[in-house]
Amino acid sequence: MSPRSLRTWSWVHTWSSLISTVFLLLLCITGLPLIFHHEIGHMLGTEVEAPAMAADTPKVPLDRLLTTAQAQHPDRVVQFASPDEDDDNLWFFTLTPTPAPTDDFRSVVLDARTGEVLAQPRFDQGFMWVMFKLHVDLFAGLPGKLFLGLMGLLMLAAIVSGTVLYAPFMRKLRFGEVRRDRSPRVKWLDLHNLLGVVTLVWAFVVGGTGMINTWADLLIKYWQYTELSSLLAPYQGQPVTPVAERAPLQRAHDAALAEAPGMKLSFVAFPGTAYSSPHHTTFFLRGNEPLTARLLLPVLVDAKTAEVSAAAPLPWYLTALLVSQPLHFGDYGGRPMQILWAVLDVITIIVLGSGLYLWIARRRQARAQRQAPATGGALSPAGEAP
Amino acid sequence: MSLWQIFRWPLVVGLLCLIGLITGLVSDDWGDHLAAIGLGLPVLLSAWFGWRRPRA
Repeated sequence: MSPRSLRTWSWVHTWSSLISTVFLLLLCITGLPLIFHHEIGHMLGTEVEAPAMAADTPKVPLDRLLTTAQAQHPDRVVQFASPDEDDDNLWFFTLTPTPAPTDDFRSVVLDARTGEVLAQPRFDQGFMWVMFKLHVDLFAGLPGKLFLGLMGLLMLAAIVSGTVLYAPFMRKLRFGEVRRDRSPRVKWLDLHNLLGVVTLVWAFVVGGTGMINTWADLLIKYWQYTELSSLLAPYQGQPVTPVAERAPLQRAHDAALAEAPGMKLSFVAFPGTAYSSPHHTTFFLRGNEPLTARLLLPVLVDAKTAEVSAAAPLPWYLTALLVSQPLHFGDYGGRPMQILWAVLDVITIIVLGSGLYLWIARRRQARAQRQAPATGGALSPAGEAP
Repeated sequence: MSLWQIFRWPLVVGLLCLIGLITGLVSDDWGDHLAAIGLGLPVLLSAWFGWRRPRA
């Protein structure tokens, strides 16, 4: 590598990481409890479970669940409803002041067999909520998300430039060699290189998919704008279908599921919400295989007539978004994967911290050298530091 | 050392990691095992080389 390109790559690596380090440390630290959010929920008692009943206990119509959930918060509207992923005897309803996206929401959990309210957990407060918000948008909504996405992009630049720089620094070292008999700076340089290079693919995938996730709101808006606009032409000028004029939810549900035999319901988006249209109740269905369970099929059901208007697979960019989510969360390989995800997260914290330390130490040495040019040598890429 | 010598082990580790990340998505039994191996390898290497003390 020529001295000039070495300098350029060093510059990219230094500045892409320096700008993003504080935020990446925040993301790594807040992400750690989020890996175990189910387990922590169990521990804190916020996780709801359905009481045991005979397996063939019949379920009440969905409309009864909807009415009961609505009755808990008469001043709010129901945005979303979904069966629990693991136990469809549990149903979650999300209620907000208007159909617009907001952080002001209430959750009602119902037993689908008795129609009774099991719990009203507050997911919008407490330790995990703070961790979640700091991780997702810094309590700053879409601009916060996009900002963190930009930090993710810088992280990818730091990973690429770091990989390029790995070669000149490792020219005289064996893989994994850590020079402990030298100065702390040399030792931490070697550790930074070692930990950085072995976690490279994981960090790139988690960073990249995290960045993609920050675009979710925009991608969904784009989808609504492009794919739904032709569908909505006949409804032009009409307000969001009023609750009183909507067909029974159970009928709409059955019509949606009949559209795609063998698929299961993931969640329902009510008219006017971000995932639906003003005039449709949208049922997002999922497959049963590990991969197809991630791929959603939206079935748009006319809110008034309960007739299916459209059922088209998601466009490629939303499919990419859905597939990128598990790769960011690490929630698809059971407990072993969760633990490895956490350890890799901690290793990334060490890489970030050691990188910062190396930058500070180098500046300090450069300053010392300027004052006494005869002593010490620069930490050269070939690893020939004294 | 040549570029190949420098990057061969990182390449092996990275490929196994990538294979693990993908197979875990596709299958819930053998895929998850491969994922544990692929992701466990960087952790093991970090621990082994990071903590190993040279023999006095």
